[in-house]
Amino acid sequence: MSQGKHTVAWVLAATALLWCGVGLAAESAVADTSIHAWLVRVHEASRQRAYTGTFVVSAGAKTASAKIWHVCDGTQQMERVEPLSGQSRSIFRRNDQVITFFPESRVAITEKRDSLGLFPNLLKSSDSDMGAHYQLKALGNERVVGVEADIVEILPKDQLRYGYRVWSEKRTGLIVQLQTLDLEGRVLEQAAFSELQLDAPVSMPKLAQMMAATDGYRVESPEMQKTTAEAQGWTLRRQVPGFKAMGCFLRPVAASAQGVHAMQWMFSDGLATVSLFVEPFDRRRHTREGSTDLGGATRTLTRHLDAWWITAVGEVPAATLGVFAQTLERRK
Amino acid sequence: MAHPDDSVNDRISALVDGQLRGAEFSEAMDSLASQPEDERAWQMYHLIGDVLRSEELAGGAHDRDFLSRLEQKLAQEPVRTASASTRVFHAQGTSANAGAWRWISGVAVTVLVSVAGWGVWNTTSDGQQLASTRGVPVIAQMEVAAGSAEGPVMLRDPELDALMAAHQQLGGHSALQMPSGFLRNATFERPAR
Amino acid sequence: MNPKDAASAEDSDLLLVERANAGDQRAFGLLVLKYQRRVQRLIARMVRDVDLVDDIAQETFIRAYRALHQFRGDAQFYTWLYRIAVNTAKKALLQLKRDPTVSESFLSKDEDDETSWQKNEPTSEETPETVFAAKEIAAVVNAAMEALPEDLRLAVTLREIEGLSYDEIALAMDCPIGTVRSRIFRAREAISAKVKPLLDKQTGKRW
Repeated sequence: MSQGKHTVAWVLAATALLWCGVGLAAESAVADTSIHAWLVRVHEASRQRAYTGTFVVSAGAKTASAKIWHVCDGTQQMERVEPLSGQSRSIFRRNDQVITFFPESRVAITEKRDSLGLFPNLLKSSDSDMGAHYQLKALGNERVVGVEADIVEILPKDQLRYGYRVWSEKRTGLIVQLQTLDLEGRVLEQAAFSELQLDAPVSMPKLAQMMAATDGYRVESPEMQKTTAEAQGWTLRRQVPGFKAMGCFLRPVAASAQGVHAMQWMFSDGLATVSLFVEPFDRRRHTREGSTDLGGATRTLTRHLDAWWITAVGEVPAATLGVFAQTLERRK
Repeated sequence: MAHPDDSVNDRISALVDGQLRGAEFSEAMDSLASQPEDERAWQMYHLIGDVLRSEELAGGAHDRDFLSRLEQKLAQEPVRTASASTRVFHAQGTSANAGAWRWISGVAVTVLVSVAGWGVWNTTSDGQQLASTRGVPVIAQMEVAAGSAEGPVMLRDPELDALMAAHQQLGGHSALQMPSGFLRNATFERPAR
Repeated sequence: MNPKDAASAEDSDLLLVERANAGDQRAFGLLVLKYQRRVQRLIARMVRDVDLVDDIAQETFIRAYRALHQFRGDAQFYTWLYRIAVNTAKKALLQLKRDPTVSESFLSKDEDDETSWQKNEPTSEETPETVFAAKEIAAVVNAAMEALPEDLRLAVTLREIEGLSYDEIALAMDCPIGTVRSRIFRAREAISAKVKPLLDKQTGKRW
C-alpha cells in the first residue's frame, strides 16, 4: 500500500504507546493539547510493566469480561486473555503472534496480526492529519480502579467518527479506561479494568509454556493472502475524509459456507477502524441489507451491488459505513 | 488453560459447602482468581442448590453480567484498606464522569430490511413486516425501540458475527489498540467456530 | 467430633467476608454470584419495574461492599445482606414517590404490607420468556436429580435441601467424610453437565 505510508508508520508506531520500550521519565500532567504530543507523552511514560486484572467491556446493559495477564521483558510482550463470557477460549499473544485455544473443539488458531507489533523506535514527529479530524482536551485527573489517572477527551471535528475519553495511569501511561462516545457525547461503550494489579508477578516463561502447549489440539492457521484492492478490481470513488487504507487481504470468512473467500480492505483514521468485506453474492446467505446496531461501538452495514455482497464493519456511525459502502466501486 | 480439572472442581464443591480451611482455602481462592472455569463452577453449584430449594431462583444466564457491571462501579470506590475507619471520599464531578453513566438506555434496535425471507430476524413490536424494495440502491434503516424487559433484542446473525470477528482480528490499526483495543476485541471476539 | 470439622456454609461466608476485608475483591465477587438471585427476587417482590430492580440490586451490593467492615459475623451474612436490600429498596421507592414525573407503575405493590410480598406472587421480572427459561432450568435440574445414582442423590439432597453438614451426612449415610465430599461433588457435576447446554442456549453463550 503506497497510500499514506507515513501515516501507516505513524499509526503503527503509535500503537506502540504502551509497549515496554524506552523507559523515560514520566510527566505528571497532560499539558499539551495536541493529539500527537499526547501520544508521544504517553509513549515516553510507558515502562516495562507487568500487570494482571479483570477487563470489562460494557455497552448499555450488555457486558463481557475477561481476566488478563501481561508481562514484558524489554523485547517481548506477552499477554494472556481468558474471557469470562462467550465461547470458552484462551487467547495468548507474543508481540504480533496470537493463538486462540478452543478447548471444547480442541482447535487452536494461530494468527500473525500485522496491526500489532513491537516498535522500539520512538514515534517520528512526522505528519499525520489526526489533528485535522480530532480535537484533544485534557480533563484533569481522577482515581479509578485504585490508580491515579489522567483523563483526556478526544472529540471528532465532524460527524463521521466517534469521540473518546481516555483514562491513563499517570506513571505508566497504561490506558485503564476507555469510553467511546457517540455524536451526542453519550457513552456507547466502555472498556476498562474493573480491577488491576500493577507490577503483578507474572511469569513470562509460564505464559510462554502455556502458549506453546498445543498438544492434543488441531492447530490451524487461517489462510490470509495479502493483496491490494486494486488487484482485486476495487476502488473508492472518493476518499472518506481522514481514513487511510491500511491493508487488504483475501481470506475465508463465511460462517456457513466453506471455501468462500472475501476481500477484507481495512481503513483507519488513527483511532477508528473500518473493514470493507466483499464477496460474491449468494442469494441464500445474503438476505439482509441494511445496518445493524447490536449495542457497543461496532456497527455493520451490508449492501448488494451487482454480483457482489458488501459488508462494512467499523467503530463509526452508521452514516460513515454508508459512505464507505456507497463509494466502493469496481475499477473501470 | 481452560481444561476442566476434576480435582479442582471438587475443591470448589467443598468450598461451596464451607469445608475448606487454611491452606486449602487459600489455594482455592487463588485458583479462583486465575481460573475462570473455577468461578463458573462456583456459580453453577450455587445455581443448582438454589433451584433445588426454590424453583423460582432458576435464573443464572446473566449472573456474570450482573457482577461485571457491579465490578465496574466498585472500581470507582475508594481502595479498601485493612483499617477502614477513616473513609476517603471519592472526588466526584470531573466533567469527564458527570455524564459517564448516561448509557444509551432503551437502545434503539436497528432492524434490517429484509430482501428475501425473514429467517429469525425480528419484526417490529406490533408484528409489522418491514417493507423492502429490492434493487433500489438506498440503504434503509428502521429503528425499533426496544420493548422487552431484558433490554434490546439481541439479534444474532452468524454471518455478521464472523465478519465482526474478522474485523476485530485484523483491523486493529488504531492508536488505542493497546491494550484497550486488543483486550476489547479479545473479550468480545465471536469467532466463526 | 472434631470442632474443626463442624464447618458450615455460614462460616464459609464469613471467611469470604474476611478475605474481602483484607483486600481480595474477588472474594466479594463470589458472594455476589452466590446471593444475587435471591437478592433480586427479594427486591422484585417490592418493586415493579425490572430495570429498577436491577439498579436497586446493584446498589444493594455496593452498600454491602462499603459496609463490609461492619459485618461481624454474629449474624448470618445473608440476613445482613437482606436487610440492606430491603432498606435500599424502600429508600428508592420513597425517592420515586416524591418525584412527580414518575408514574405509579414504577412503585411497589403493597409496599406498606411487608408480609404481602412473601406470598408466592409473580415478580416483576417475569416475562413469559424468563418464566419459561426458569421452568426449563428447574425441569432439567429435577430430571438430572432423578437420574442420579441413589447415593449421590441422597448426599446432595441432604446437603442442599436438608442443610446438613458433611459430618451429619457422614453419620446419616454411615460413610467417611471424604466420601460425602466426593458424592456431593459428583452429583453436582452430573447435574451441571445437563444444565450447561441449557444456559448456553439461553444466553447464546457458553458455560
